[in-house]
Amino acid sequence: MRDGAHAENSLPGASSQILKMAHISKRYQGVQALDNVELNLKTGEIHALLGGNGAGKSTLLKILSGLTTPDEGSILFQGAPVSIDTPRIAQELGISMIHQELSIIPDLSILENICLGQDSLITQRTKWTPWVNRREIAKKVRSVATEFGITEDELWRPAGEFGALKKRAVEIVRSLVVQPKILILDEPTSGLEEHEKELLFEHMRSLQRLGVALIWVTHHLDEVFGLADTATIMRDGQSVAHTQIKGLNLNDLISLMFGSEAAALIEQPGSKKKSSNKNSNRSKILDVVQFKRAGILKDISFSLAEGEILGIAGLAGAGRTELVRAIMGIDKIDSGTVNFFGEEKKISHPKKAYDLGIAMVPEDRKVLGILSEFSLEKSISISKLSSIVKSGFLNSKNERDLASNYIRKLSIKTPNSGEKIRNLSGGNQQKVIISRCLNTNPKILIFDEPTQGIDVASKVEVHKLIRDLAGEGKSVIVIASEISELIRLSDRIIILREGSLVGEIEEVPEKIELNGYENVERDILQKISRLKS
Amino acid sequence: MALNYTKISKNTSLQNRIVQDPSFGIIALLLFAIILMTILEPSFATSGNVTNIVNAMMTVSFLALGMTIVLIAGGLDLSVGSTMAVTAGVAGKFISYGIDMKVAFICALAIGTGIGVINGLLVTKLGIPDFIATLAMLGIGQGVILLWTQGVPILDYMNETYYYIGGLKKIVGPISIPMIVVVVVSIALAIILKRTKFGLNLYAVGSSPFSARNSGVNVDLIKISAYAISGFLAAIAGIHIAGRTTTIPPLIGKGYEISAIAAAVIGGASLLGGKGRVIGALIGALTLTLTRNIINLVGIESSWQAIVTGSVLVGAVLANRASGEFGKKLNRRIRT
Ligand SMILES: Nc1ncnc2c1ncn2[C@@H]1O[C@H](COP(=O)(O)OP(=O)(O)OP(=O)(O)O)[C@@H](O)[C@H]1O
Ligand SMILES: [Mg+2]
Repeated sequence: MRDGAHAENSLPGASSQILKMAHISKRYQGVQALDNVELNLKTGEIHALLGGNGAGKSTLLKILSGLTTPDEGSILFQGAPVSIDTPRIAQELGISMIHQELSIIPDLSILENICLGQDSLITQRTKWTPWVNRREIAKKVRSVATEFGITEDELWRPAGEFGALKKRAVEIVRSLVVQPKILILDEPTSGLEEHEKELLFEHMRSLQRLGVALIWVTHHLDEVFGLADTATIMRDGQSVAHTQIKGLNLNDLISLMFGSEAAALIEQPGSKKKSSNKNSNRSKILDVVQFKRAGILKDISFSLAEGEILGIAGLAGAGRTELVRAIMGIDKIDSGTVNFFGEEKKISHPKKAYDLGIAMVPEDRKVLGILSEFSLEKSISISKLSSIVKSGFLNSKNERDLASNYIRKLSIKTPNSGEKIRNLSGGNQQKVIISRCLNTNPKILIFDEPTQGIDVASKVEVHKLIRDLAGEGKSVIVIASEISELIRLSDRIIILREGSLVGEIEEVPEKIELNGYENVERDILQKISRLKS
Repeated sequence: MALNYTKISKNTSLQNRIVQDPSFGIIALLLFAIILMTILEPSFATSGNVTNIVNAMMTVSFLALGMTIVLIAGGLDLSVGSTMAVTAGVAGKFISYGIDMKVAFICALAIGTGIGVINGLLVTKLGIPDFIATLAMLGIGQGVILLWTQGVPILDYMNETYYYIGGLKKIVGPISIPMIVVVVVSIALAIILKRTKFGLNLYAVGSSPFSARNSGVNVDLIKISAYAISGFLAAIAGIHIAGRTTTIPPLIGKGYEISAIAAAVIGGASLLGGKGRVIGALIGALTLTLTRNIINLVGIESSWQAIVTGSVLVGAVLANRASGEFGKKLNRRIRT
């Protein structure tokens, strides 16, 4: 094998093997995260790394970028064995990574976040130069930054002021400006808008043309076609296939990832929506009246009926997240009222919202959602401790039962219910947060990007869960950047742009491929951006 | 750095920039106090008293600057007072043994830096919480100097040069050597924090060590360096205070760690890491020394002294936060 790699390497010009990871195993307490995994990568190829939640993708990539070390296995980089013990070594080799969990430093400016640790960006002379010249760096990164919607002004402001989306953009810009040899993208598009995704894909293609090898993790399998050349498929910690993308279809990928029986379960275009409540005989449950917040929300009013799924569409900065945060009492508003069952309520604090029966799954789970040192069962029960009380005390058996119930319901992948949240894979963390929310038994559920980081199989489950909740008479508000997801899920959609409510789709077509579908999508796309029809 | 938001409004006037500065509130309060005291208390604005204030402020400044660096990196150094005492002891004793002054100072500086490095190693490599590690170092330092001196104050080291180093004799007009050293150290640290990779990494490590590691920053090395700087500056403070007090009681450093932390925090540093500035540390040091001096001059009853000092602390931190918020609001208004 090694000889082969060398031989290939010596061919000038031809696409040569740049990376070979062989027999990689990694064990965490109670879980075999990786079991004898192989990954091969050629220069100038886009390589998709696919697999369900908890399959081991992030662990493999963490090993490659020096964040953790394998128990066994070898890594050949450009034909030579390397041991990548720290992120610094990875960077010096030219391996750059966009992390699944945002790793942005809130107190540093966006510019400083971009250049942090990137010697090649800070100075071209020598890595020992101690100086940082921010204006010079700003010049170098300006053009890429602007492409991803980071203005000159924003470069100088602390990253902590911005939302998840902008932070994601910062990570992307950071990894693009250093001109890596291998670029790792672990779910880079989660939470990005359509046009930003396209932009990122465009950048991926141009890097590919420059001979950069890309490893790309995504749960949006449709994106894989037409972009990726090859794929490694992982299942339960093993690499089960290494394949060309050409000649495969969606079903093939799904059966490789989850087994052949799973493919049939996945939602196909054209499937019918379950939520069958008709608009007519529903009673109003929530009235948002004239929400105003300077510069962010401009006089927004809408209502929500019992058993209704209301979608909120809009671009980044349209005020979607800010709107639901205001309803939850997380952000203060300048004026506006909330009527709950026709009665005016003051929600000044999230606790009040929860007491009334309004719960939210936040957009940025790392910042808002996760108590990372907590165990899975504690993270779920904390939202309503009364649910596990037995004769006046918290009962750990009740807690475990409660957790097991959700583990089953949402198929959360974890060694046991006592595992710490931060040890779960990204998608499974998201499921725990959803469970925590459900545990409050709310009347209104707000989902801000509910399926980010969730694999295709679980996505179906989450969608089904949301519809079932609506079927039980609960009301749901969903924010999703992916418009097709929004259309598939919602009964009604309101559209925000720059803090104003600019439109409403009163009745979303029931069947996904009904003729109206594409018109609806176009309609929404037109309204959320500035395009005048 | 969070405080860089002043930068973005390049076109705002100087006046605005001053008002937006997070330390504006405290500076205004200090000026007010100084003017008031000058009018009301004849013994305040005398050259003897001013020398006292400045000299005492220099000691706290060195320690507060070091503490600020450690706090920015997300650590805490309780050992600074004790390190100051040990290094003062080294300088004084060595000179009294007849060792050349320069050699004695170099030894003191090396020992101070060494203690800092040990602190850093305990915290990073052995994973001992900073509070415990540096508290232990405080105790060890105090024990060593007590054993070494047998509890007897160190004498017989003062000479002509040392009066200059202690700030008791001035070189020109009101300018003394410690003042020059504080200015030089401050400028150097300000440049390090604002213009170097190391400075950037310090803020990164303090703000979010995990993300900093992800970005390829050598978190341990940065932290150890921060403690080393703090130890080095504590040694400078030790060399200085020995000259200022002309004798070295073994417990000379007692309580200085608290002053250093207080000064740094008044100056905008956060115990949660990732925040702090050089000018803030100096303002904090001035606030503390001035408060103490005023309390003494006015003759506040001793049981009230602690209460007044405590209240000033809380007030100063609140004033700092208020002007920070105010600055942000103003800034937003200017931008929109
Ligand atoms: N630090 C850790 N301690 C214990 N277990 C861990 C740790 N990191 C990962 N695991 C476990 O290893 C397995 C693989 O996790 P990994 O994050 O690699 O999955 P993934 O394929 O990236 O999933 P996702 O698509 O949800 O992000 C999971 O079962 C997870 O619980
Ligand atoms: Mg992952």
